[in-house]
Amino acid sequence: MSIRQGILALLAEGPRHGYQLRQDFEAGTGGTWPLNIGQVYTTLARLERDDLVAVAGDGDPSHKVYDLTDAGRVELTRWFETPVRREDRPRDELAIKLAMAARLPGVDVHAVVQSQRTDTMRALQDYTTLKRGGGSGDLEDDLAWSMVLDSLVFAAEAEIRWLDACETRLARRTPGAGRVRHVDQVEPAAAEQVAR
Amino acid sequence: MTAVLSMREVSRVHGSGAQAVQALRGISLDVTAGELVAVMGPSGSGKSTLLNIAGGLDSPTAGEVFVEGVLLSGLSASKLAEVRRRSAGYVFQELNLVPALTAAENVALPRELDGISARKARIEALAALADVDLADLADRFPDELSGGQQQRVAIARALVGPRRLVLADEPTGALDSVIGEDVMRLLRDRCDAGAAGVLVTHDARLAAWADRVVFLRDGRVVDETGPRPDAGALLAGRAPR
Amino acid sequence: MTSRPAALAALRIARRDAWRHKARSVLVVAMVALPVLALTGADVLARTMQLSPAQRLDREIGQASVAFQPLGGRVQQEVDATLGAQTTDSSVSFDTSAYRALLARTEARLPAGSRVVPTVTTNGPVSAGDRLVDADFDGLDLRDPLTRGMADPVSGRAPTTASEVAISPSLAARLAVRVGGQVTLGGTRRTVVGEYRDPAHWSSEGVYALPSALPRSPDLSSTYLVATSDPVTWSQVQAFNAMGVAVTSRYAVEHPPRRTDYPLQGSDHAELIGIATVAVGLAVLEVVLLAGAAFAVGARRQRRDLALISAGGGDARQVRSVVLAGGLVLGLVGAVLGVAGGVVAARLLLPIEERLADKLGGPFDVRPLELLAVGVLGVLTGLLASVLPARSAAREDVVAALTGRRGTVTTARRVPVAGLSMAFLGFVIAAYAAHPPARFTLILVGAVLSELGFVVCSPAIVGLAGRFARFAPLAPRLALRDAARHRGRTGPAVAAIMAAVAGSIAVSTYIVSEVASERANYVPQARIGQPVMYVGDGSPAQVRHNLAAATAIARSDLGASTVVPLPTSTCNGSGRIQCAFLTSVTDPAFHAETPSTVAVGDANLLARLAGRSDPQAVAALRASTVVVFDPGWTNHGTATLSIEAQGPSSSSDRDQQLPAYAVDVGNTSAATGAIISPALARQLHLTVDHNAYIVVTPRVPTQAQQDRADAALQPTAANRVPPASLTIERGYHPRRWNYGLLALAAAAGIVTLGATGIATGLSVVESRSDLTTLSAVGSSPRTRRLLVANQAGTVALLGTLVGVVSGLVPAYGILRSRAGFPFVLPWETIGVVVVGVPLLAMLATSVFLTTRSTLPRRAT
Repeated sequence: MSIRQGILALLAEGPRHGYQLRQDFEAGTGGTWPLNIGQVYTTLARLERDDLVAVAGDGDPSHKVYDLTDAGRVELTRWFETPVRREDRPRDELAIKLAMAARLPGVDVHAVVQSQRTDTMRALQDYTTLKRGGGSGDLEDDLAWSMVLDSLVFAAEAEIRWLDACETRLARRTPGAGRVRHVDQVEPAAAEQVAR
Repeated sequence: MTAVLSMREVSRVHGSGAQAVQALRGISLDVTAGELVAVMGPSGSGKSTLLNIAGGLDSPTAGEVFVEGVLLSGLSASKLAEVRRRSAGYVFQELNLVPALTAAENVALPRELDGISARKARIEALAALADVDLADLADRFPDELSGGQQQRVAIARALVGPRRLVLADEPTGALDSVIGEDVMRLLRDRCDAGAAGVLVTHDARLAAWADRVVFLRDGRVVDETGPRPDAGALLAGRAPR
Repeated sequence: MTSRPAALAALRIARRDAWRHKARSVLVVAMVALPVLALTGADVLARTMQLSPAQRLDREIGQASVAFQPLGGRVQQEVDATLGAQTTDSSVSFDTSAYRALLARTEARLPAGSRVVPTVTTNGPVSAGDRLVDADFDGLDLRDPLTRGMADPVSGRAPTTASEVAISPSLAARLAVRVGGQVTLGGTRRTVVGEYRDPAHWSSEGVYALPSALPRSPDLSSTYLVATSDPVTWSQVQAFNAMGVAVTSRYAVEHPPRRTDYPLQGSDHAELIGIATVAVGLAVLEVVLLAGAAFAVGARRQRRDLALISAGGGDARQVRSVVLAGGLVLGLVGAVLGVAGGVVAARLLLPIEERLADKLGGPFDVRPLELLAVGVLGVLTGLLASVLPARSAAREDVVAALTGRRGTVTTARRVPVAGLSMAFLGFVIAAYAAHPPARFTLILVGAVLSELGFVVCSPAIVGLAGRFARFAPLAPRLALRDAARHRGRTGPAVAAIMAAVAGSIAVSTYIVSEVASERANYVPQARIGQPVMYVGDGSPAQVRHNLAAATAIARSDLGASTVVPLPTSTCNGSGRIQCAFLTSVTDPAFHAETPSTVAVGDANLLARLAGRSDPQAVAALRASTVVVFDPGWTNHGTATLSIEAQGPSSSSDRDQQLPAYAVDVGNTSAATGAIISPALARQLHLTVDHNAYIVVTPRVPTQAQQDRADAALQPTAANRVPPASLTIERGYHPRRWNYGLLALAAAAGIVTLGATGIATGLSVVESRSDLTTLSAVGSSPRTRRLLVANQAGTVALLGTLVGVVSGLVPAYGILRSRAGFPFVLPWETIGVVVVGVPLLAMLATSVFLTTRSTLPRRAT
């Protein structure tokens, strides 16, 4: 869905070749979203079929220059104006995986949660490292880039927090979890005592 | 390379008898120069206890803590204070700075307390402030600084003179995320410049600035992560979901 | 005021807040309680020590309803004749027979059925072993119920026969005798059977014996106690007065006539009351300032809570009422505790106070109304003290308070200027009002005004001190900056200490000046430390014998190397004699006490008398010039000798001007007023008397040596006339301290220390968070102690410095109001206060501060 709209958005800046579109797309999303050229041409073909783009000039098919049609402009505006609905997004494989793990006997759900968290944390560290690395120097690009990175960072963070919550929920279910809750409740008070 | 901070099988029990609460259970942790280690965990997991023990503000009930190779257990209160003056600096969420002292005086504080002449301490303080890009605000009082600037001063103070261990407890807790990120970037930079850092936080985004993240739960390390060597690999594999 | 539910809510918040911040509340309560305690204690002690006329009468006339004393002539008396009575008649015609007749007539006019018990008051020497002391003799039958209250039993029993006596504990100590021992009195040995003391003067040296057992004494020293059931009224007393009898009637004293109805009036207490007004006024100011400091600190600490009330929709008035309610709650608690503590303290201190006052106090006297007033004063000061903080709290910027940002404190330049002007104006008013006749209320106004002026200045002074912080080492720098930053808190603390110190300084200035005045007015009767001996008169053989005996005693007991004759011109003796003494023509009252006798001798005697050699004086003496020892006797180079001629039938006196030279004897006197050469004495036909001798000793004899010599110089069975008498001028010794002032000084000192402790305690509580930071930065416990000690010391030092200056204002006012009083700065007290109070504050805080490293707490 979003590659399609992304290409429309790029073409709104001016006519482009297919390979230019690929380059600009990657630069615009901070290199976090690699595309292969085949995806670009397939998408362009569909857009042409739907009369949203048109080939601007003649020449070598591999050097076709595409441009936005009026319908394409309308479609693009509609896209910007419409918020992304949560139900439109694909189902989360991880959520399903954890749900299944919790149902099935013999699967160590804790291990699943922990390994997932470690992995997500690493990803988060990597995004942070990328962020530190800085962008190309072009302010416009940097802004776009850091916004996309932030989206990944926040998503990863959310996932970690969700995993934390899952862990707490699991701990409550596990027999002997009372002790854990006990610590959660008592320790701040104990710390307070010490502080005095 | 020897670790700047080294904790061996550290345990800490608050209280005694039926009221005893095990805050830390056999934690081992090494932090070397140039390394920033984040300690994550929900509240009550023992993060702050760990940090207090690392700087000698609190002492473990079992296990050993070494700062710059010095064993902390058995040191007198004044010897522990000396360790904090010379080796380790704290950065808290707030109340970091003495309001009656200027930024430079605050940074110079541990040096002056250590008996360095006021003039020499000021020179060192100005250098430390320059490292955090605050040289021009040296003579302002904390009240006249923004929250982010105050935290930068605190970081400068944590690393003034020979100190190279920063113990930070939610240092950006009172700041908004953009300013907080600047403070984290500064902390990261100082570690890259050779300091050792321990960052206690419950915020994954802050922890991600660290080289290594240690997950604490109920006073135990449950997870530990280091960075992957190749960041790009992750990106390549990550498809939009 | 706000509505009732709102007021109740304010009270509830105040109460909860007080409970939640216990340390602070305790300190605030202490600030209110301490002065209330001091005032209460002082009131109870004063009331207990102050006797009602009836209680005083118990000491003077025991349980008698009437006491009388035949004086002859016409008598004028106070209502209580023991306070003063005089007769218009000289006693020339009032001889023993007249006395007896008057006594009989008086007894006849007493109500029927009266019982009369005679008492005698006299004095004389008492000795035991080789010690001799001049003592008061009280001849009264201590067993008689009528005398109960006149003497205070300590141990043993009352004398029952003429051979028994009771003596006072201090006399027992000086004579080194105990109950069961023997003393010699009037040439007879008596057994000491008990110890009794004068309730009005514990340390006096007294002997109690049956009236008949005492050596014969003049009739006029007798007082007759009368037990009668019928009251004697004032008009009856006046009738007795007309007969020549002074009468003290219990009934008349308890039902006194109007002042105009009796002629003799007691001394005016207006001045004392005036001084008391100033003292009490300043004490009240002190209370307000102490409590005010506490509330200023409290309100600052309450900032956030108060801001939350504002944010929650409380208007300025409600915020104000919360602080005021805090004042009410804490003031109430402090007042109750202070009054209770004051009563307890007074009870505990009573024995000490009695010892200091040297007399027995009356029954423990707690006056509920007065204590209520003191308590109400405490509550009011609590409220009053919270008014200013309440106003400023109500005006607080809510946002700044909630975000914890502290507004920058700036003091407008005109504030300290106004304060200084107030202080100066107050001083001018006090100095003006002090001009006799003093207007004490105005002095109080001036003192209060100047003290308030300094209070207004105190934040500015703190701020000024903060400017110098830059150059100070770490600990004082931090302390000074901290003080300057928290002017809202340290200012009141400085003011509180200032008020307390001002009180101490005022009191001690008064004491020191009083002593200085007494010292300045003291006139020695001889050279200080030079013993002079007067050998007893008699036949030439007797005199020789006396001189030999006295010289031996001087050698053995005083360690005298030699005894030098001091011939003087005196009119002692019989036959035709002529003597001279100095008189001042310019000032007849000149040094009424200055020795005015004239010695006759040579240069050696001159040197001995003057204590130095003065060639000019020697030359003058040879040239028949009068050498005087005090320039006051000379007038344009002459001195006036009053020359008295006595014959068997006539006497005359005339003044003669003679050239004079004044020799400087420094700040002492000589044993005589002047010395003339024998030639001049002959020329003036003066009789020269050879009874006086200067005893030359290597060093000044001790009191013990003097007592031994006195005992040896006592009449013995063999020689009824003592061989000589001895005097040693010992210079000025401050009389027993005025116990009231001493107590006041002690109270002021305690309040000073208390205020310092409390004020610094509050700032320690305040600096908790700084200490946490310092601990984390790596300050050793010692350093933190030092830092806090410096904070306490800074506040204390600033407070004492300002206090010293402001304390001098009321002191100056009061001293100026007393004519002839010098204004002497109490340097010792100032030194002790300026150095001691800050040091003590530093010491106390560093001892009481727990420097266990505090673990930081996160706000989340």
